[in-house]
Amino acid sequence: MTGTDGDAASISALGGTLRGGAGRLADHVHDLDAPAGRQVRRGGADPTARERDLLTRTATELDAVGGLLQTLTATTAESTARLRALEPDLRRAGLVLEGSLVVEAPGPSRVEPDTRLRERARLQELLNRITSTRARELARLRRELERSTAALARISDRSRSGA
Amino acid sequence: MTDGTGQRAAGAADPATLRALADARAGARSLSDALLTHLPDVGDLATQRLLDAWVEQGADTLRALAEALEERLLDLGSAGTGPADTGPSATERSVEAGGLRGWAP
Repeated sequence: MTGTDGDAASISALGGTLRGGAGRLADHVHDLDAPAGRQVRRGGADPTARERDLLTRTATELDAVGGLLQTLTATTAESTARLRALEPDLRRAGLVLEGSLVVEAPGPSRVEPDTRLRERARLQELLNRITSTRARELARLRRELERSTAALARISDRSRSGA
Repeated sequence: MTDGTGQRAAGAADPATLRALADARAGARSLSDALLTHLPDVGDLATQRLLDAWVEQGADTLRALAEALEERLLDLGSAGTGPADTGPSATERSVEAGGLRGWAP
């Protein structure tokens, strides 16, 4: 895309690990639910209420971030495809991409200066729309990472304090 | 360890509970290790820093969770065996008998 898009496969892999792991943690909660229910029905104390709560909260955080990473992967792939679709127009107008800017290709051009200018403005507008979609996803991911890091730290504290 | 109400969970060495706790403990540990093998590259410095910190925190939380599960497992196991039992704990016997559910991150 623009050379600053990272490695989509590595993001996708982490997202998959997180969502799969969250699912398995939820399965463990389910496995603990049944015997705890039997014990409570017999009049005993719930032996794993705290552990099920910790597992559920952790799974929720992993699932949330894993989902956003998978969304970012999809957005990046879509943006890459949309950028690729601009390439023929860029070539015809003697333009190239430089990061997030549409600029004139080096050397002489047979394209009319007015046409080139119009095309440059039009393609820059399209490029802005494409890159802003990914920028929004990144901003959303940053907000969620900040929130989730704090939430996970609280779960760590609770796990180690026995609270 | 208490049941959260300040009381020890009496007679709580239910084999299904012990197996589920052992599975969950193994799962949390395994997932913590798996998280640290990832080297995600988002291509944006600010996001990258937050993601790296999150992965570290996530791995730590899963380790803490595994420790909490281990503690509960030992607590319930010892509650079921009584102080005179010096052989393998009920926890270990139950888990060995039932085996652990396969857990691959």
